[in-house]
Amino acid sequence: MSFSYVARRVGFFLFVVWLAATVIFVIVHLAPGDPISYQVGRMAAQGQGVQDGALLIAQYKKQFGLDQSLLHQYFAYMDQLAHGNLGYSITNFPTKTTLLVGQALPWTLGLLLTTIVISFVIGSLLGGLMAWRTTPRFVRSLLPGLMAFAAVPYYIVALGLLYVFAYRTQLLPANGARGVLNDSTGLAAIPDILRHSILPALSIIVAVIGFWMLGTRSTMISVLGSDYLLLAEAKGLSETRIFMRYAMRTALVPQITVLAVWIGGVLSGAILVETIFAYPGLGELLVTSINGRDYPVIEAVGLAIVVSTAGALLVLDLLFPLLDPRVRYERNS
Amino acid sequence: MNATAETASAVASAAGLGLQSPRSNSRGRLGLGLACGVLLALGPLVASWIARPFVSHHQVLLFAYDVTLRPSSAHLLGTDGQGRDVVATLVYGITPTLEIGLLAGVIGVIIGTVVGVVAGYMGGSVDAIIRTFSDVMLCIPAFALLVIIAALFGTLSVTWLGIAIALLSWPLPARAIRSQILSLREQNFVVMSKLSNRSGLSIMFLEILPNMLPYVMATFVGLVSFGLLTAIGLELLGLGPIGVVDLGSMIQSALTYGALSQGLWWWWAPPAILLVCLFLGLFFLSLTVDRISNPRLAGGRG
Amino acid sequence: MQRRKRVRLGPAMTALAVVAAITSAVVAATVANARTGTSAPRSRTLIIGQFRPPTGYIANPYLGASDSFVSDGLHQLVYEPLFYDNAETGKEEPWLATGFSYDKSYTHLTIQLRKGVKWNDGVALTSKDAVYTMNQILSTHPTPWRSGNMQASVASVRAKGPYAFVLTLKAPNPRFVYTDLSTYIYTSNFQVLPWHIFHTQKFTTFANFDLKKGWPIGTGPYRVTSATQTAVTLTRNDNWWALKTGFSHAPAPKQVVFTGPGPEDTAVANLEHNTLDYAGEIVPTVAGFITAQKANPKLINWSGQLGWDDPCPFSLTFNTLHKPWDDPQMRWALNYALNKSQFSSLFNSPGPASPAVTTFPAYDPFNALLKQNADLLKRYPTIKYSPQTTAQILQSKGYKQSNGKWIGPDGQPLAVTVNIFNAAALGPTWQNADNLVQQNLEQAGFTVNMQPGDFNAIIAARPSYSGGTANWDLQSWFECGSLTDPWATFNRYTGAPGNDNAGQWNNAQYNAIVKQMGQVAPGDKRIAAQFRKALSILLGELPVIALNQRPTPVVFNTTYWTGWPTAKNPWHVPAPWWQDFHQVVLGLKPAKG
Repeated sequence: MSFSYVARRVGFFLFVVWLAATVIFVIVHLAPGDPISYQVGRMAAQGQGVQDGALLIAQYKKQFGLDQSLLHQYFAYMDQLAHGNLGYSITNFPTKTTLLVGQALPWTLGLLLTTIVISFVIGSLLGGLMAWRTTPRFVRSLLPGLMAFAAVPYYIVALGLLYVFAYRTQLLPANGARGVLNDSTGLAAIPDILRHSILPALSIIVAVIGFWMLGTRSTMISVLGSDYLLLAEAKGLSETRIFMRYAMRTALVPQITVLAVWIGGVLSGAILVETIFAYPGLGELLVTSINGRDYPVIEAVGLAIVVSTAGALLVLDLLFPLLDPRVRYERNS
Repeated sequence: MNATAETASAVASAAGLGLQSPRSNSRGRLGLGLACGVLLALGPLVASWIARPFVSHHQVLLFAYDVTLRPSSAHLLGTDGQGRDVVATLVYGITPTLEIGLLAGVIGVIIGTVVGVVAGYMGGSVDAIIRTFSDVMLCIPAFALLVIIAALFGTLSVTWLGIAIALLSWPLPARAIRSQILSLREQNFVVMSKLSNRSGLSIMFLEILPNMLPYVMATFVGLVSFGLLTAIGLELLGLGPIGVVDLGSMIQSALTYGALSQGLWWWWAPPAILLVCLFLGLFFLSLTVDRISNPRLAGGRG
Repeated sequence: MQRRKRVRLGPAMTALAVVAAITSAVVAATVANARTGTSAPRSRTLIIGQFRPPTGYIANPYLGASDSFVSDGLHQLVYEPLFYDNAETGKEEPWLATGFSYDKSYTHLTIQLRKGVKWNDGVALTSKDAVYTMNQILSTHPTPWRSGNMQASVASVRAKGPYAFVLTLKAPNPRFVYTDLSTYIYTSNFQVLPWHIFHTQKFTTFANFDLKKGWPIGTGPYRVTSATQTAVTLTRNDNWWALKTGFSHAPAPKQVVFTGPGPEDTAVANLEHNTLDYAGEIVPTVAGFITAQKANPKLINWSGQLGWDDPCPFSLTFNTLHKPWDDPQMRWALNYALNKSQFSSLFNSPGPASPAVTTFPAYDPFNALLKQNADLLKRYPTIKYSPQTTAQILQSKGYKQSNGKWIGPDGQPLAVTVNIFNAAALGPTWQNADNLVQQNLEQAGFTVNMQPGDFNAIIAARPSYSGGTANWDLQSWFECGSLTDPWATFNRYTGAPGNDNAGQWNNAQYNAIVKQMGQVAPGDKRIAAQFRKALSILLGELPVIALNQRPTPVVFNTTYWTGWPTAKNPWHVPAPWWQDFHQVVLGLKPAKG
């Protein structure tokens, strides 16, 4: 892996991040309304008759630099970003944006990472099995059912699960990340957290498993006739070993690249799942900050999403030659 | 340059979602899959068109009837929380739903195909620019961006929503088509056309493209699916087109009214079932068209 | 090569073993869920299903960011105001203060503080704290949260001994105690801050939150013991000053938890299974309450099926600067085209509709005044739905019908641009509300241009906030004004500068009457006559269309706690998000032993 390759990839990553930050900044500032007017309106909604509302708004705008030209604000924002400073939330001044994002991020990441890992592992395993010669029939018969689930959008699956497990019966909690009366912390909190994450995770997993199954099944089929598998069998290796270490390893490589590209879609999907299950993650933070036009927070969350997506691609691009030796040798030759 | 995206699109184009079977596929099985897909995907739409003369638009107005009536002979699926007849809402609601999906699919496939063909055929700097551009777009998640735009600017109309989805979802299909073109480019008939001095444009769109039609079809179905998924996701968040009553907004209405806990199954279940129908149909279509477009898959391996 | 029959552990079995391992881990987690409760038993815990995530944990009530955290139990149970104003009984309940007195010119206001009040860390509350707080408010620019009126009305403040302070007002203001020093719709604008904690901090950025130090420090009967993004827990303080002086008794709940009720279906389920002692205002809807009550008869509502009237009815404001809406008859023509009963049904379904006759909330003092003026309401039937009358008026103005649309004498269709809340602004019901308004107006022949917007879009279009000009003909809003005395609502429509009069209607005669009313103390006998004069002008001109009263289910669960205020026993305002909830908690009794 040459230095110029790494430099180009990292440069591309930075370019994408900069572009996304600019696009989000422009969109957010062009929208009608601003965080100050929102606050003032909220005061009015609570019955606080605001005298001289316009004057009050003008004063606060000055304090936060919102009265300057868009270009001026943009350069100030870029300067801030370059120093790694994500600024203060306007609606929740003097809270730092990083604090707000930091509170929400673990929930989203936790939910997403576990669902991605579980659905990828189980889905790929099952997919590989579907193509393997000696898989018993009853396992193969799972295929059409799980495929059908792949077709149905995950939020419909979520509604169905909610109806069955949370309303009809009370096996699982319908919303929230922690039980209301449960104030355990640290390791003791894990069972409670897990319990509340089962339904949201299950909705995503059930809907997504079929997708990985089909993909790995196809790649496995293209691997099946390979010579090295024949050699392994001739050497007398156990079937499990051949399956896991020889066949699956090769079959998984292209799937991992699909995973990287796919992460952006999953992040977006998390927004909807978090709304349905009232999970206090990035999705909820995004929706609240949009309603309040809290520019710094919207920009921070948007940036977090893009950085994760682009970052995943970057990481995989840099690791790819390690995964697939053909690429490594091709480049060096 | 972007090795991950390259391989991902190669996977999408070659293996894709095709059902490879070690045994060869009979034409009969392909035909069955196609029929199933078309029936499930387009059946509800056709049924709604047939039903329109019998169901007046008046029944979809707010407070046309009493609220939350159970299914009866007067109202086959009862009425919803705002007094609309549910059957009528379904009849008039399927069209906007499919409209968004089809719009997103058509525009997306046009952009994706043109961009992919041009990039794959022309190569060189044109290819590099297009590739970089689509790589950048791959990094920005479509749904999140649409949520931000719809929430900030007060939602989009049906047409604009379809266009917006198309504008955000063409990169991956474009990449996949480009991969196909790369392999087709070296084939004999293309070389012959080049030798016979035909213009690049006519070679691209009159020689290469017709060979890729089944593949473009597969892309189209995938885009329609994605468009529907995104649009309904937005509607569930309350960010769908205003004043339009379609399947997604029916479910959202039912949820916020509390139909789940009040047992008003006739309100939330029918649109959900119809949506599942639609998606299954599109799924079957994509499987079958994949098989048709990739003869290697249909032929199976020895 | 022959296929060997697999009998031993094949890859299929290995894979299934992996799947089984993952599944059993998850199941174990479900089963092993340690249902550790809080430190108090359920029967001594009060769980309120109303919550706004405390982004940032700002507890300084003069910072805008505190708005969410403060509503999660802080201003109810940790902070206490000078006076509680019981909007149901109309009585003032002096709390941290014992009374007030004006001089004859209504410009010098003396407040007497109660002796024996202590902050929760033991320091005594004196006039030093009150004077410090008011001085900070007066000297901070831009205006601190909720302090606009105080900055505009108060010239200076000084202490008068340790238990009294004097405010010098800029102009005679007989209502100042009522509007700013008492709890007035939701909270008291003036919250006394502890000098000994605040004076070392920067007033404009101090968050006042640090559980280890016991912050936020208040004088109230509870302290915050836990605050997360999903719940705030408050624990009873057995060293409360009111116990020592015998002024009050210990509240029965040992712990109070404020938490989110969840979306509609979840709230209903929680109420049915007694996981919540209260839910209301947003969820459940009327229909949800009915379902929940069927399953759990221990649930009660403030009143019947509909619940408690929020004091701010919804309305549509006319832009009186736009032709032809400067003509009162045209405004009435449009008013007749709106079916307010249907509009109200969207919010109240399946309960009865509650259209608003005027922009006053349907509280007893105003109902009585309106009854006295029933003849005016007959002459100006604001909630009558009559598209025929619309047609009559329009025809008399020279409009002609063509293809179901009204065309004016200049050949242009009669167009209305409606700037209205969408679902993101105030809830999903507004989606249907928008459709209904469009439907009503189009059926009456108007050419409608809908501009739905979320909260920000509406405010940005509102001249009283944005300072610009309005480009709409009708705008939705909510009329927050009077609670027991009619002056505040009337004042909304005067042409005074800086007033929240988005429609910019300016009637000199009306302005004069309202000014007179403002110079007279609440409860004065002259107000009734002034009310009639002002009302007749307001109804005749109709600058604002009142749409509906906003009853909201306020659901109490009597399984664990009784003594809740209801319409049959309205001993206090029931809203848990109001600061007055303090008094309700003091009045609750355990249901089970």
